[in-house]
Amino acid sequence: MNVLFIEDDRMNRRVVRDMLDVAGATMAEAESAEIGLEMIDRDTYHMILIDLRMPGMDGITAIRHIRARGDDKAELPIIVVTADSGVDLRERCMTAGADDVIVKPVAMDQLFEAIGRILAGDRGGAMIS
Amino acid sequence: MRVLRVLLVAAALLVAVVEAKGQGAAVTPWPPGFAHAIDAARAEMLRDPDQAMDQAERARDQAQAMAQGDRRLLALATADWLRGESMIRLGRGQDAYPIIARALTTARRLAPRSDLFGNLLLSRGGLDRDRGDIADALKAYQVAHRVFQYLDDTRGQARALVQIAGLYSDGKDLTSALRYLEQARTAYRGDDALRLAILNNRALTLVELTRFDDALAQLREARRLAEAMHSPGLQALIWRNIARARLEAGRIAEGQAALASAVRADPQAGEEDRRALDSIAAQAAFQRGDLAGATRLIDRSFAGVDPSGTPMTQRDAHQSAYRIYAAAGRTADALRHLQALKRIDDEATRLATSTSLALMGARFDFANQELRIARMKAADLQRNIAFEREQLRTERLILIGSVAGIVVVLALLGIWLVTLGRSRNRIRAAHGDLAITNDRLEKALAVKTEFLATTSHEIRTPLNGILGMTQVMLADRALAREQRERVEVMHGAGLTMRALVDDLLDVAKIEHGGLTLEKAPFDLVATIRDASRLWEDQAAAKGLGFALDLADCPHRVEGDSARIRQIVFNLLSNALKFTPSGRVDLTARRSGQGVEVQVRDTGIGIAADTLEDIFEAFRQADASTTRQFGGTGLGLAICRRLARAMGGDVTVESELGRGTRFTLTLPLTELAAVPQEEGERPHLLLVDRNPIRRAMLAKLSASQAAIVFATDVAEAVVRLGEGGITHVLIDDSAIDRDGVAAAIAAIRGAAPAHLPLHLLWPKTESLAGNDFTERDLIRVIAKPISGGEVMRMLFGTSSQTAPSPLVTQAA
Repeated sequence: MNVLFIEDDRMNRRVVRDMLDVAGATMAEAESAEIGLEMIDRDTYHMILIDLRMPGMDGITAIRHIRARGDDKAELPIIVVTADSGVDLRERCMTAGADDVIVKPVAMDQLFEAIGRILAGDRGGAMIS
Repeated sequence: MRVLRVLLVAAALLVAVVEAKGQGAAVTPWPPGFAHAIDAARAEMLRDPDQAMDQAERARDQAQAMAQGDRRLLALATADWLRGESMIRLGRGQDAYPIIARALTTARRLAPRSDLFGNLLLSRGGLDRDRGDIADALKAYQVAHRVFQYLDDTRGQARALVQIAGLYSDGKDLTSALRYLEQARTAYRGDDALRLAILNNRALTLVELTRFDDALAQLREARRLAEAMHSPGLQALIWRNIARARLEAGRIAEGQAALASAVRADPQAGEEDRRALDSIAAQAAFQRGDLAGATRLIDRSFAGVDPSGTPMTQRDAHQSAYRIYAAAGRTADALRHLQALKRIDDEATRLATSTSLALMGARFDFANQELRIARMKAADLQRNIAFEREQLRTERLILIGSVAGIVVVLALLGIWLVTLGRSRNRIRAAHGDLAITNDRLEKALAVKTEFLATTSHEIRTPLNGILGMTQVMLADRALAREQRERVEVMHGAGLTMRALVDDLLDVAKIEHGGLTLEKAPFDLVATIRDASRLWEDQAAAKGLGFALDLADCPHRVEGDSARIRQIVFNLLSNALKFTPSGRVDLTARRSGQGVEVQVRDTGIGIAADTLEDIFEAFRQADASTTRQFGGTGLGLAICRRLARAMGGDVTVESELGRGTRFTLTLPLTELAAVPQEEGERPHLLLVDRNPIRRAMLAKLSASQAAIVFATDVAEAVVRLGEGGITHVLIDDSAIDRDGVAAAIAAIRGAAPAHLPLHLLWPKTESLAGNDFTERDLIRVIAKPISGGEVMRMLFGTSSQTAPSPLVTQAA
């Protein structure tokens, strides 16, 4: 499985990459939403992980861009990974089109749970390999 | 107090307006029967609360009969709001509290941007204010204001602002009260009755501040409104207030004229109004030098009234009476009114100081230097006020002791009068300082909230690095034992830090009304067991006895299971922390309106004078506790606030050195039990090393079977040994390529003989050399394959009927 993580903080990218490695998944990295959107255009991923607060385009706007695409990639599963903790955080993300929200510090089993759950659903394709 | 009286009038006016205006248009109309009952309840609310109650009950019955769903819950909440309001009017605030709290939870969840939510918050604020929870009342009004702001309902905003002003008036912070009234006036101009109430309140607050000209300007406008509304009662009220203000300003002739207008405005005034008029007229006569006339009028005003039991609204009348009787030489009467005056002033001061303190206490007590300094100043001022009051009290004792000789009394009265005036001025000055301090606290609070949100974000990011890496390291099976122990220490410390940040945010959320509560059915017994599990081990490690008594605890209830779990967890954590020897016991049982959970310990106990402090944020019984036992002191504060947010409470009883008992009460509704099918459900053993695929398979089969996990062959053998497994699915990741046959043989040996084993194996990899005999009952499923197909092969049905898009992935 190949995941794209859009996140400006290098350390956070490293942490999630090592976690995904535990579950045998590979991860591509984008350090800004703009770069991330280009990479989605160009390459194929099974899932997108994305931070909210980034310099330049923010995560919510990026999610809206992905969902507004005219092709299959508009249906890519998206999980928000953020250190925010606002009252309406979850609602905001889900309204924009995210499938799930994980709050930092990331609990590894929670991350795997979320990914597995989404893969089993309509957007994930439910393929066992 | 004038201000209080006016607020009462304002409250009545406000309600009248609510009734007049009716409900904001709902998106879809309610069923006619329900709508009719609701309208009737609203119409009767002021005239006959008993009637309103009947109608609200009827509305509730109608709502009960609606189809299950959010609309029904909202209808129930609407009916409950009116039931609660009726109870409040019938003097049954205690009964109304849990009802309003429950409706509030529903409205907050389903319609946080509705006028129902705003109205409920206003009701809740009033109840909190009556309970003396000024801080909670303030919060409720502030959130209500925000809700109405969102709805663009300027009238609602003005109503919330008037209530906030009322709180500040109680706290003697007249400047702030005036500011909020001014905001209310600016916010809303559309409704004459509400505008009149605001103008009247403002005017009388201004009189208190001796700003007579400003006050009279407000009253002039109020008078024009009252005339336009053709309400004789209101016109007379405003004229009386004009008379008071003019007399207070020393403009006797004009005061007299205003009195005449009051009589003309409402010739058929009721007894209450006539008495009020007489007392003002007496004051006018007295100021004019007509002592005989003044005495006659004041006699009439108080005829048949016992001055020792009058409400606070009579303060001005008592003051006039005292002055007049003293001047007329009727010392016994003068003294009776003096005592009434004293009683009312004492009561007012008590209310003012407790409210001021509560308004300050509402501020989240963060260890922030600016806030501490402000607090210390405030405490100092409070002491000054207490000192002045004490002085007044002593003076009164001297006074009463000297009643023996009238001559002596008269002489003392003269002296006392001078001192009284001086002391009052000093108190007034101190209150002025207090208002400034309140203001500063408010600013500090805003800065601190912002600071907290940013800090939380900034702490979570590095914490993600620490906890992320410790988790990855601990997932490595090859990690040496000693290294593992060290990483576990690091991981534990990181978890503690995360819990601290979560607690801080919880307190901030609760303090600012940002807390949202879930409402869903759950198993209370299971939740309490789950919350206790960790502490069972801890108690054993500490050598403490630990027992749960859940015999009379309901199973299925409706509420927020995560928050209830958090409260029980915190109470147990607290009990274990402060119990060096003996035992900790938890009992949960049905009680009155819901459920009661008790946590008893034989620990160090809490001294009586610090018993309530433990519920304040950042407070433990004393500072040395923090050093000895650690912790932030946030846990109990969160427990109580969460419980109250759910309409319940956490209370404490304790004896120093003997132990402590915490009682959590929650108004939970018990639901009918669902028939247990667990025994008949298939049990699927999932043997898979990959956590993501494990979660995926679990999700896919959740509707078909209960799931048992194993990550390798050894664990699978143990699980099978425990029995009950009806289906087995083994992924190739759990099987070592060097010993495929041995692995399969081990699982086959542990599983019941007739049970088929399903083996997921990559298409690209051959199983040659591992030929299974038919007796092995092995069914190989080649991957990749759709999840639905796997479910069909396992259970003979599919959880997903639609063909899935083929996305290849290497999970």
